[in-house]
Amino acid sequence: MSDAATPTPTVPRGSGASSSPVADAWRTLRRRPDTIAAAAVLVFFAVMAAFPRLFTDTSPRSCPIREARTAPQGWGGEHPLGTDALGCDVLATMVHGVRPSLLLAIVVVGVSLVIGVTLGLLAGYYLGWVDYLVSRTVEVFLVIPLLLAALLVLSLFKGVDLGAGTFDVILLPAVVLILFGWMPYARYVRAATLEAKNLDYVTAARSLGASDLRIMGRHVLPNAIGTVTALLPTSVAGVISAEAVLSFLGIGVRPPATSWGIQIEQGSQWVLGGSPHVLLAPLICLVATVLALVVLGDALRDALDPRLSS
Amino acid sequence: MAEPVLEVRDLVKHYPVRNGLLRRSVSAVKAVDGVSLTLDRGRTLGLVGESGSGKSTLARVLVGVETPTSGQVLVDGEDVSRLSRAGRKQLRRDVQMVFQDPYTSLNPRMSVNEIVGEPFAIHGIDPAGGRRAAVSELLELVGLDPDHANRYPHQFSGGQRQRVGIARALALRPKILVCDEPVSALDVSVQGQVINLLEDLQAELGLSYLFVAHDLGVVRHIAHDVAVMYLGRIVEQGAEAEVYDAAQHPYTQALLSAVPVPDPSVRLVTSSRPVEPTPVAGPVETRVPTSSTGSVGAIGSVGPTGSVGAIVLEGDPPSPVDPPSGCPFHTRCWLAPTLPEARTDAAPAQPPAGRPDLGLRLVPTMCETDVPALVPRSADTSPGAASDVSHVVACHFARELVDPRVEV
Repeated sequence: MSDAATPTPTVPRGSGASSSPVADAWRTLRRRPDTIAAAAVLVFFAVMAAFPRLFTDTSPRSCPIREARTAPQGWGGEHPLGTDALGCDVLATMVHGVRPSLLLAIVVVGVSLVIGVTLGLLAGYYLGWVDYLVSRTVEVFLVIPLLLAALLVLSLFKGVDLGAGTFDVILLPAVVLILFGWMPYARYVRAATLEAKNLDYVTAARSLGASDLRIMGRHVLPNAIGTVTALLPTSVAGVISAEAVLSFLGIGVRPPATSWGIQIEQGSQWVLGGSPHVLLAPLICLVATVLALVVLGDALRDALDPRLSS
Repeated sequence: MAEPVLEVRDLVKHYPVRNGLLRRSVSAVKAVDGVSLTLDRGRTLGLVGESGSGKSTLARVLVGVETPTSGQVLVDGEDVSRLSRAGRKQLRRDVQMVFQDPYTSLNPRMSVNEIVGEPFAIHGIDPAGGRRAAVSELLELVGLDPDHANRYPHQFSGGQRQRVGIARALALRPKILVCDEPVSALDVSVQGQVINLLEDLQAELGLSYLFVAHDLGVVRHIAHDVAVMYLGRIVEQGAEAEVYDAAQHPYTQALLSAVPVPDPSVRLVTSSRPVEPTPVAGPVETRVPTSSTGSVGAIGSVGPTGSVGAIVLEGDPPSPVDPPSGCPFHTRCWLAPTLPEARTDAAPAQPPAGRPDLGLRLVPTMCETDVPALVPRSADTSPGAASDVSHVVACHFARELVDPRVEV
């Protein structure tokens, strides 16, 4: 063998023996305090969604109109965060709105992601008529206004009793938002797939006899998904605020369930009317959630990309 | 003579050029246009030529990434295109590829262990002792530390990555390795290591190489036989010594004359070749070989007589969409205008419509009309050594080319 039989690593690793990528990722994740803070915020809201009774005893549905627009009274008061225009307790509404809001965001973003990534990957990989079909469909959905489509779905489900279960209350907004939310993912993934599929390592896998499924799953997708992960946290915020618009039309989260979106929408009317707290309370929660997701998404991307982990 | 392990017969690969609303195919890029090759067991065939001459396309067809438009590829006497899907997969184990760029040929998200072990996973093979042991063995074979199996490609240098790529290609115990410019992207010092590794592996495993490169020096070092490609066709083919020392095609001679000479006393000479009274050749021309590694340019190679420079070709290679009629090289041939035949044939009074360039150069009519066959033509030049039929040239006037000054 030649004289190069003893290779030296170009990047010396402090940790010596390397372990599995998951353990590496966890170690990287742990070293960042912002990541821990973000995770804490999300855990906090997750607990709130699961056990709203831990945070408030007041029912969001008892709304004595006499007490409308009470200012925040602080902890220990009857209405710690005050009441809204109808006299409903802001804290109770907010706490009980976590579950539908977050659930809606997760369901919509998750399903859109699966649909968009699958279609984008297939279109970018196979091109030809698959790409033609997917690209034209994306364009069609992009030109239909969201509200018009929402009205259509509303008329379709008119008179259908959907029940009041956890998923039932978000079904209508979820359908509408998924229908009109998958296109960006498809476009991003298609573009990234076009770029990745001509690289030599894909050719290498093909010359080894790898199936299309394997090439897409192991080689193209992991290298094409990066652009999309940056999109996810902001999409969550977009979904929550879009739901507020839909609720205005009557196809948002179904009453009596409430959501942050509805609360923000109603609160924005009284910002200048002397009751900014009605808007601020849910808005701060939304911003905190989105920021936490951004930080976590960043950390996750760094941790999973072997090139960025140091 | 050893039996052929790979035979290519009349291979053609055209890429359709689509145009218009209906995406009809209006013409074709003739990337590979009728190539026949034979690779013997345990031998190395060097494939050289300019960028865009179809070398890489040929390599991709051979490993099964591209399907040929027509022609046959025979591995161990079996026609690849006639096999079933399963048979083709089996056959792919026999022909593997080493890529040019070690920075894009390894998936950055997979560890070396996963990369080298992937061939086993794809073919569902469980090597004796487990995949992990097999990967370690392969890494050791190519001179890497098996303890580095958990590292990622970005943690290796270019030469080490190329070794990983070679280990991956060797995993299925192939008979043939198609090396597509395996050292062009590496430092010169590392090039030597990788070339030596390839030679060691050939001796150890009895591999056959198809070695695609534009660095003529590297090819001369490793190849037993050499084929020169121009515009999708082979213009000269033969044993390494014959092609390098007794090149008969003017294109081969031009390529060889541009190889830099590693001797500081050799000065860069702007071409002033006494035997080249070309009427249209200006002093500043596009240089011959295109190369990213440095074997470029009109560098004068001073032979024993110390009086000649590089042969400089005019212009760019013609488009493979619309290759020249007759000999594909006649539009840039430095020899044709100097031949006595070029003067006796009158140039056409008016150039044919659409091809204003056609009549400007005075070349023998034969070169413009007849496609020269790839046949042995050495009979006239050196009657003593003419008996070898393996040295074939595609040039009507090949026999008149004697150039003693080519040194590599």
